[in-house]
Amino acid sequence: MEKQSSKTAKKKKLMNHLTAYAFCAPWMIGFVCFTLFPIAFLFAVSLTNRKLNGVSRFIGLTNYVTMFQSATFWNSIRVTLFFTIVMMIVTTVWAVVMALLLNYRQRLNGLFQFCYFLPSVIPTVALAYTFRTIFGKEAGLLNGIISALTGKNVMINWLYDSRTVYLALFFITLFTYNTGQMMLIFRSGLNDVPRELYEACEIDGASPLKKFVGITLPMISPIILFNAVMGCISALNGSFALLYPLTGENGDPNGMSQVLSLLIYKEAFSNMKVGYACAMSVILFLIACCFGIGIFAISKKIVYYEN
Amino acid sequence: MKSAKTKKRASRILVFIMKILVGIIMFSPIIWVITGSFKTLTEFTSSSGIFPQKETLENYKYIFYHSNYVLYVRNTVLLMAGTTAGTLISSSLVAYPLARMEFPGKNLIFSLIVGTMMIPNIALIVPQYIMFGKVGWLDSLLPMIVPAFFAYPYNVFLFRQFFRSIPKELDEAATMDGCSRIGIFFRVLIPLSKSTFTTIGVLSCVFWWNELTQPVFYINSDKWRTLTIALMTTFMYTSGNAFVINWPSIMAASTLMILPPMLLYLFGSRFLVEGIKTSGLKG
Repeated sequence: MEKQSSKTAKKKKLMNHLTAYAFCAPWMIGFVCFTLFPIAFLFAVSLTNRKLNGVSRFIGLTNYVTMFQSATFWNSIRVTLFFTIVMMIVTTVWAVVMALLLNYRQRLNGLFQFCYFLPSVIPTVALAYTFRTIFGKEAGLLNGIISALTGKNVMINWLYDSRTVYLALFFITLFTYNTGQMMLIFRSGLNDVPRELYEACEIDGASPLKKFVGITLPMISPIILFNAVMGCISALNGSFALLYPLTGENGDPNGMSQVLSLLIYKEAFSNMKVGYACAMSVILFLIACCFGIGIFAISKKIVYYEN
Repeated sequence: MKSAKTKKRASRILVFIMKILVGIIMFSPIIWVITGSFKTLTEFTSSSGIFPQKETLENYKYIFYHSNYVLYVRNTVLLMAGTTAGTLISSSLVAYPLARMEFPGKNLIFSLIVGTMMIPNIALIVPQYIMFGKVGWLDSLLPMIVPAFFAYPYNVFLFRQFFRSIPKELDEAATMDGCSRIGIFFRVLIPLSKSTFTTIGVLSCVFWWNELTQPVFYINSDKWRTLTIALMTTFMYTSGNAFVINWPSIMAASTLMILPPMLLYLFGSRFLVEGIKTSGLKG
């Protein structure tokens, strides 16, 4: 009798496991077909001289040798690292600032959230074109404002001047989809910080800055980590959609904004060297891995977890 | 006591002023786009005034008469609906056992999901391009819609976070009433997760409405062109002169593209914050 009940319990457990796997099945199939296989395929194609029309021959590591000797490639690596890290920091900080402002309960908060979040739902292409006209040399909004304020006729081509291009680009990243999404996540995270902690702090007469550094920051540190990771990926991923309409596949001026994804697109579709583009994708893939591992390594030291 | 009160009041006003400043910075590009769409080409390229001197509807007429605008809208809506439906169904299914059940390999699967979240899509797009070319899906919406039915890691993650915040006792109560594991999912979790479904649905719609990278890689012909590509190609140049960028008509097309996400936001905003659960967020 007892043996039988343990047998049915076992059977039930097995059934439960099978149900769980059945629920996971869509992801497993997708993972194999759209992630694992493309990764393997990526490495394989990077060892050939495949052209866009499909003609390919095995050429060993030649693509990598050419790549490591190319100045364009190294420039692109520098730009990618710089762009990713700075964009991650700038957008995360801006998202925290907006979330903090919105979580301070006041009148018209709904309207403010609408204004803060709306830019992030603008299509990136539209955003890029908007800022091309705002930062434009002639009849640009920014030059117009500065001219009106200073009384001088300012004619700066913000996006094509090597001194201002980064300033302009990082300003634009504040309006991207990712920033808005981060802001929502931070708002939700800030709401979860227990009120009592602040009250206890207020009794001690702590300043707002002290409250922020002492309570808010450690309490939301897991969310900062999460957003930093997401920000990093979307900087690597989304930079194409932002920069392609903004500065073109050559990353004007002088390749200063030519991130790796733009170079991959250029090599694969303009120069039709798919094999070579794959070798670059391998590097992009490895950079993403390094960022992921790096962020987690740092986070182990500074992120505070409850319990 | 009084000074503390005035101090608090001063800080409230200060915060309010900062809110307005940030609001102006964030909203000014949108105003620029909308007012720009009513300017003539000559005015747009010669003056930096925000409001048009003489409003014109020419730009909107130009878009409708000089392109297959309705076709582009149809393509974009198809793309958006297909991917969003796909990801809502598949991602919630996958998230359920990860949030609620114990089974061997659970941690491995979850780590792999978090791991794949870190791989930028752009790194794998070239091999995927070749792959989809082999199955003959290029120049259609399939390379984007089909993968959506196999769960996006990020959405799985958001669903899992939300499911975990629903008390487990509800499951136990439902089991007592004779509900199976599958029944719990459909009768307990889904009805309680409306806000998450709305949030992820809204975010996904907005993402695909705005997506440029994948359509640029996968779509060539006018037949499947989405609005984002049309913005880069079709509306770009004036019909008479191929070298003059037709900015006001780009602004008009952009204005039309901003409207749907704006409405979607107004509809979904009350869910947006509560739908994202960050409690118990680890890595």
